[in-house]
Amino acid sequence: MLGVEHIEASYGHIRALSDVSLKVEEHATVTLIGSNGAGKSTLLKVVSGLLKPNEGKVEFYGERIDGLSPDRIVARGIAHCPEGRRIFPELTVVENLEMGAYLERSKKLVKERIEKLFDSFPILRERHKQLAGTLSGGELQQLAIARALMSNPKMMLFDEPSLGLAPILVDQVEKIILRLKEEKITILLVEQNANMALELADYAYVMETGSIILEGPSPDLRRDERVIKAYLGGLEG
Amino acid sequence: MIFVQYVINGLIIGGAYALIGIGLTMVFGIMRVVNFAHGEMYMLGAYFLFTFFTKMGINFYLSMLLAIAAVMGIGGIYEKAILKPLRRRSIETVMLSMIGFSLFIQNIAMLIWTPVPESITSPFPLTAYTLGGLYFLPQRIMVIFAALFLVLLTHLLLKKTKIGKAMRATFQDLEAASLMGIKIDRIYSFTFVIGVGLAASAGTLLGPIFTVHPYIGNLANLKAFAIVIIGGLGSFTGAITAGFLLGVFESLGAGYVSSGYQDAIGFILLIIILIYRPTGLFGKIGQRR
Amino acid sequence: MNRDRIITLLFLLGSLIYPILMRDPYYMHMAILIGIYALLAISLNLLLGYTGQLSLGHAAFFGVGAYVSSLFYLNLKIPVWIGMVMALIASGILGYIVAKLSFKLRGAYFVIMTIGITEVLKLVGLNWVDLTKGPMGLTDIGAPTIHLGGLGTLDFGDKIPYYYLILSLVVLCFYLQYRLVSSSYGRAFISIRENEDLAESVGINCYKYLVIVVMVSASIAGVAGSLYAHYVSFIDPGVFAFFISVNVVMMVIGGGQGTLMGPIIGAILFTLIPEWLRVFGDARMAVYAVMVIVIVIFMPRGILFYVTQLLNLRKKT
Ligand SMILES: Nc1ncnc2c1ncn2[C@@H]1O[C@H](COP(=O)(O)OP(=O)(O)OP(=O)(O)O)[C@@H](O)[C@H]1O
Ligand SMILES: [Mg+2]
Repeated sequence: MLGVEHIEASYGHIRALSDVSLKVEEHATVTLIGSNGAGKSTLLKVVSGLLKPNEGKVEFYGERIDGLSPDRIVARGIAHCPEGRRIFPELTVVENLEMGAYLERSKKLVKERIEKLFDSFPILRERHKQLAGTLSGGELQQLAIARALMSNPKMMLFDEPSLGLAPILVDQVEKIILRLKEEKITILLVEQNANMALELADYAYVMETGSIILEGPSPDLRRDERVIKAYLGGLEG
Repeated sequence: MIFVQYVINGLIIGGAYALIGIGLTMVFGIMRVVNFAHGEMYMLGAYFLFTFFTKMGINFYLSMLLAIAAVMGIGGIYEKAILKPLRRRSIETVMLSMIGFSLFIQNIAMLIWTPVPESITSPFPLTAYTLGGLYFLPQRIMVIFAALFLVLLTHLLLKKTKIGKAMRATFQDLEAASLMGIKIDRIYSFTFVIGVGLAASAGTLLGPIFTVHPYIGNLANLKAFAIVIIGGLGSFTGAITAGFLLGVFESLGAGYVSSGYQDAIGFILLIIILIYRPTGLFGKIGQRR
Repeated sequence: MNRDRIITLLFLLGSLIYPILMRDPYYMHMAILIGIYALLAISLNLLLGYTGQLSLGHAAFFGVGAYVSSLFYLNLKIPVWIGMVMALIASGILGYIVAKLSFKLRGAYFVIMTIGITEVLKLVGLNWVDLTKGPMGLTDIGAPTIHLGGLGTLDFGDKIPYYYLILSLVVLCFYLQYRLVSSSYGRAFISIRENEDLAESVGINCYKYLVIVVMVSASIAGVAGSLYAHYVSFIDPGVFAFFISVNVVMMVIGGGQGTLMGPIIGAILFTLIPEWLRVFGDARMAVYAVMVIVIVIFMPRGILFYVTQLLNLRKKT
């Protein structure tokens, strides 16, 4: 349902992506792994409209979405949960969630969604009146995911949701993603934590310095020597 | 007693200063650029009131509303026509085009209203109420109430409405806000129009107290800059506090020192702040990532 | 490189014989004003063109120079030359203070400080009547003279000697600009303009360099102010006019910021343009304002740059 074809993108004169293509089928969970500065976040920015590609196209349900502004892309059902969480620190938890459903006009519906999310993320209910800036790391990540879900997306883009979290909290994030998977939400997961990513995903791409260098079903990649060496710390077994 | 009177007079003028200040700080909050034509919007507010009320004889409050709306319209056109296309250009280009625009407005005002200072007739009785030895002119009572009302209205807009929350989200993290589906362009325009509307409203409040001429925007600008820096660039509470503070200091300075330097007081406070607390009283510079 | 040298030398030659060709006092008057503004524009070019810091208060340094030097002359009866040095020092100190206060924080602070200080100095000029005579201004400010021993005295009160005095100072400042820009200081300035964080990361103390460049710039502006006062022999708080600051910025941008000849070309253009715009009568300044917007938005590399580009395009087609 998401097709990225021959994308080239740059920041000013700095080329960040060259000829990147990938596909995410409906209801699938696909991961994109790669080291620091490989261009993973850049690719997500291209998909969600934050960065206009110089070349190539992005299709969603067969329609081109490259060149659309981010609000249009959100409206089509893609939610981007950005790197570093990017919560609005001086808005309360509830206000953050409301922003997530910005395009939803019905107040009643927004309220219902918040209530539903509070059931899945009970800690947010406890904190609902607090300024988001006062939350702890794990809580912030839950809020970031919940905020992205508020738009009722067909597809979620996750950018390193496990980054900077203690191992228990990483497990928690993993569970959340598994749950979304069960709910048949299509997922594109960017991770440096290749172990977790390959466990969750059905299919995987490996990116290095702006290009896809390897792809395949996750189980295959987990046995691939290059992947084991570079991303799994050689501990796979 | 005279001291208390000075403070009260200062607080009244300070109310209008607070409006100028929050208008400017809001625009800064989103554009990260100080609007150098802010003072001219204040000037236009006063002149439009002069035209509608003193010249055309329209009801005073209606004239105020019309004047504010007219300035908001001009600000909206300016934002769409000049600032929007410059969004990706350097901050210097934006600042200089704003300065060009302010010169333009100033000189157009001079063509329309001539450089001769005008005074807006007061629709209020000129006898002051006295209370415990203090004087309260009806005109000034209206000013402080109107100012407080508008501050409250702006506060409610930012805190309670959907667009207000979106504005705050955009101030804090523009990129994340756009990922929520917020149309950043709309937020820009809306914030700018509200910001200049606040400047214009201050013009309509202070216009009948002082005289109006095409260059009053210069001093209004200077005071507005002082207010937002003293309060902390981008801080709403800071702008309100600093607005009242400036009003009081000016009033005391004019009363006890010399009225010639009254208009320099804001700048002196600004320098003191820059020396001892460069981020302002409620500073949060560089908050947006 | 070579072509630039030839053009510069031709320019200099033209300036040297200008008074012979143009005997009309009005043309001499305009030429002298252009020279004074060229000094001001060179001083701002160091700041805006090479370090990328926008000052909208060059009128402050200019005005302080004018007042200090005039007051020294009128009250102490000391030679004008000493007054000029005093103007240089006073403006330099003012520049130091402004820079120290505003460069702790960047962005709009420096711009606001420079605008603010100009307005405040204007208020001082208007209100400190004992010293400045307020709005009446200072009159009878004499021109400098040189005693040539047995040959009598050279009086710069005449336009032609004053023209050459100014021309020599413009040449001197032009040379100073050239040396400064091609020194290690110049490279530091440019790296600050291009990318401050990067400059800082390779060990350039941006703060220090910015303070230095503001001081140098302010000092030159002060000398220009002093030259102005002793030329027109009358000044009032109008020397602190915001228009002067804006016009100098337009000289630098319209001429071509960050180039050596830019401020000279800009000074010629923007001394003459406000004169030409008189045909618009009262709408003159409104037209000027539109010009400011157009140039800033569409010609940030200077008018000349776009004119030559246009000509080149014509040639090609
Ligand atoms: N805003 C930006 N401006 C300029 N260059 C950028 C910007 N963001 C990223 N880059 C550059 O683009 C390249 C790709 O960056 P990107 O953030 O997409 O990598 P990444 O794979 O997400 O890395 P990480 O794992 O560290 O998040 C890098 O070389 C980076 O330096
Ligand atoms: Mg990344």
